[in-house]
Amino acid sequence: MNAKQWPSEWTRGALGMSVLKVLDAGPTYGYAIATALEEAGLGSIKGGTLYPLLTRFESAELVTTEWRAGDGGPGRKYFSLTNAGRAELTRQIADWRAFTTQTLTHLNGDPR
Amino acid sequence: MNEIKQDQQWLTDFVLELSHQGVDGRSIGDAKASVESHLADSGESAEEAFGDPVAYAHALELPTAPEPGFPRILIPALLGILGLVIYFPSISAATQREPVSFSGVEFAMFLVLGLTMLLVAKNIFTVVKKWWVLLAIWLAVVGLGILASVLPRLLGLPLWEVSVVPASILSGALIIGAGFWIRASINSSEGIVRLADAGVPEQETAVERVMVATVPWLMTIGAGIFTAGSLLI
Repeated sequence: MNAKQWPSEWTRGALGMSVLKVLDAGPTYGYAIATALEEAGLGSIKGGTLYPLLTRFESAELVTTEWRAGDGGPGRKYFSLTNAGRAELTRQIADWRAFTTQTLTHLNGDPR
Repeated sequence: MNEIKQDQQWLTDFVLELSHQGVDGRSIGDAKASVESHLADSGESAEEAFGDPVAYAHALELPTAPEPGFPRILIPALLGILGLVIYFPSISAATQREPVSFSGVEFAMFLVLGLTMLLVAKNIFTVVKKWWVLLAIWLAVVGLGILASVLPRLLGLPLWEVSVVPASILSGALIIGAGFWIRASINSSEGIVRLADAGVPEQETAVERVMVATVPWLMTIGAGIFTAGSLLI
């Protein structure tokens, strides 16, 4: 897929809730999250950006983690959304919707 | 193969930086295993996926413990060096069948060396990133010990004399005892905790294994080499 690469400041703003959204579908691991985001058209997210975010989520108890043995390779660290994480996702989606509506209203308005 | 080596170096720099920050062994093990797992899945190099290891270690913002005082290894290391300070002149004197003389210069040098080691210990994470600095420090320690054995004679300042046999035996015991103490200190330190399910294959190289096994006995080896050299000459 030849995905459009969005400006990094846009991706940064939406990354947290996008990751929470991927985890809302069920527990998964870092590389799978990055792949899911790329498939969703949000661009290529490097490990150096993704894991610090996941670590912050873990510290804030938005996710729990569990190491599972890999199939012949290294194990994988699975992240699961907590109830607090789910509530945070709902809040962020609502805020983002309000923000984008506000932005679009502004962009579609008549120039003064 | 070259990429694997580069990734190993990247991981070493990453782990060192986390250790330097005072992150606990379990969190370091977890962060390291996460990187290894991601690299295995993505096929990327560590540099490609995570960028600079030091910057990435900072970006993780892992909880850190208060900065420790001095490493546990320092006291036995200093005792071992004190042993060398006494052992070298004792062996020199033994080969000449004379009592060993101490002028105090060697003990002054020991104090200088002790202070140097304290400084090195406080900045150990900068020093260990360059293996040749460690080698230079070891050579300096052995070199200063050898210098201490000849300087009092050159200056002609013997203050007190001791019989070589007890001096050699006691200082030799001090060096060997320090080796055991250093080994115990290394074994009791937490190090990096490997996670049960992370399942990362052991990547430690043969050179690293030899280095870890040899470190406690560097002073004993140095004393052995000096003894053999003195007997041959």
